[in-house]
Amino acid sequence: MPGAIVIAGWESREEKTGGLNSARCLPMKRRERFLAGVELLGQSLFGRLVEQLGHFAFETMSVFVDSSLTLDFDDVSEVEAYVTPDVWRGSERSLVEAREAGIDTVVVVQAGAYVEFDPADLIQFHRDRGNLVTRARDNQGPLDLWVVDPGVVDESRSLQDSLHSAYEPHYWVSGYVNRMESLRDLRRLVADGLSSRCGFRPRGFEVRPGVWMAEGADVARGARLVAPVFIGRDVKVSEQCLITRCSHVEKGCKIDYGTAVEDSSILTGTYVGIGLDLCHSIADGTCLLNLSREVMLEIADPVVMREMRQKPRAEGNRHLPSNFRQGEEILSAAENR
Amino acid sequence: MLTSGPVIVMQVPEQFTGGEAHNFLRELGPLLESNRPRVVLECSQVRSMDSAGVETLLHCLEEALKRDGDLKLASLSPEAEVILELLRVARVFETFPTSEEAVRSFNAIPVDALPQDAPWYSTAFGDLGALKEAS
Repeated sequence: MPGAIVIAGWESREEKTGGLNSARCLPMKRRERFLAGVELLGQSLFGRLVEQLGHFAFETMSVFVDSSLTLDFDDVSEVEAYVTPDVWRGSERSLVEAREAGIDTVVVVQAGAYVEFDPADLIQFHRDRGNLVTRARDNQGPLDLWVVDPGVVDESRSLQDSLHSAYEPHYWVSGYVNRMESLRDLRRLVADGLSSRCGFRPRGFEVRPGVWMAEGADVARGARLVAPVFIGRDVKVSEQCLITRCSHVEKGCKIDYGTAVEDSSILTGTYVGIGLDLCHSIADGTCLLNLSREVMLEIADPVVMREMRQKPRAEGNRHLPSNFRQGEEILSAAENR
Repeated sequence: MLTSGPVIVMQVPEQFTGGEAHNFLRELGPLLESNRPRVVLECSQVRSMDSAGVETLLHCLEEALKRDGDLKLASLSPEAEVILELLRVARVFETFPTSEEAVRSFNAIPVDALPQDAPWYSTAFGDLGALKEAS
């Protein structure tokens, strides 16, 4: 039986320090908040990935989360997850354990891109070729999705090096792929999901054709929702508002009186003030990114925009859910054994 | 009397928020009290603007219009454009790509900006052109 490892971590130190909030990264590469951890249409990419793999009959599944990430853990309540400063070391340990448990094949995925693939087909391809490592790719290049023989773990080189230097043949992913390399990709993924161009579906109820609402959404009678749109959990949309053109308002947001949201993403816990026009933008707390002008603004005026959520895990991982464990302690225990 | 002073061009500060906006208004306010004030606000340096900044712009425009003058914006930075659009006031101001164009706009009304279908206007200009050519 195969196993699976899901990694939520930065690809390199450079990427970690160069988030969207740093001026040198404009226009918009990735934001300091891990993109795969951002809730989109009701669930993050990371949560969807874990859920998708959970539906497949893996013998074991380990999830490693970089302790520097700000991630909404509600998404992964069903699996054992480890928060660790070194996700790759954790994955290596997990592969050693898999080998000891007699698992012959492990799917390793680094959360980042949105990839529609069939795990069974991928594993079959790997077994047919008899490689130590098989990497998936699409027509734009390699993806952070591998199938490995647990024997790939080698004292002389890191797992990350072994995976990234995997040779042909690659497994070609023919399904929908969005690399999520920029915030434009985020908008594209949402638009494709809302327009049914891919399997990235909203988590909620379709109250009218193309109008999706999650539990607890409160839309005033005088507000207008024009399909396709998504209104997330516990969102409040006030009177005379207009939400239109593939816009989505995520969990816990409030759109105040008379504001129009067009072709925009309002990320979790954002307050958008009275009588505003938000077009081609991504709003996240006090941060406003206008994609048509490629401008990012920090809105200091709480009347215009503000953050409503409590910051999750801003420092350390003090409030982890019960299924999360501090990876470091577990890894040292395993190494001592 | 239909006289007016020169066109005033003023640079809007980089951080056009709260206190800065107040100082800006204190500086510009007396100039707006003249007869038919003609003001161009150069906005290329603006990186941040809050509702106090936008209110200041609107107040200045109102004061200028009250005295039969006008206030125009020039060289808007992308940040200023985004804020003005977000707060739905972008359409209230006449905007120009450069300060020079904004200044020139006070001195001349371009013919192609006028309603061409208005017979009284096109005729008047047509006659004027013919007269000029004849002279």
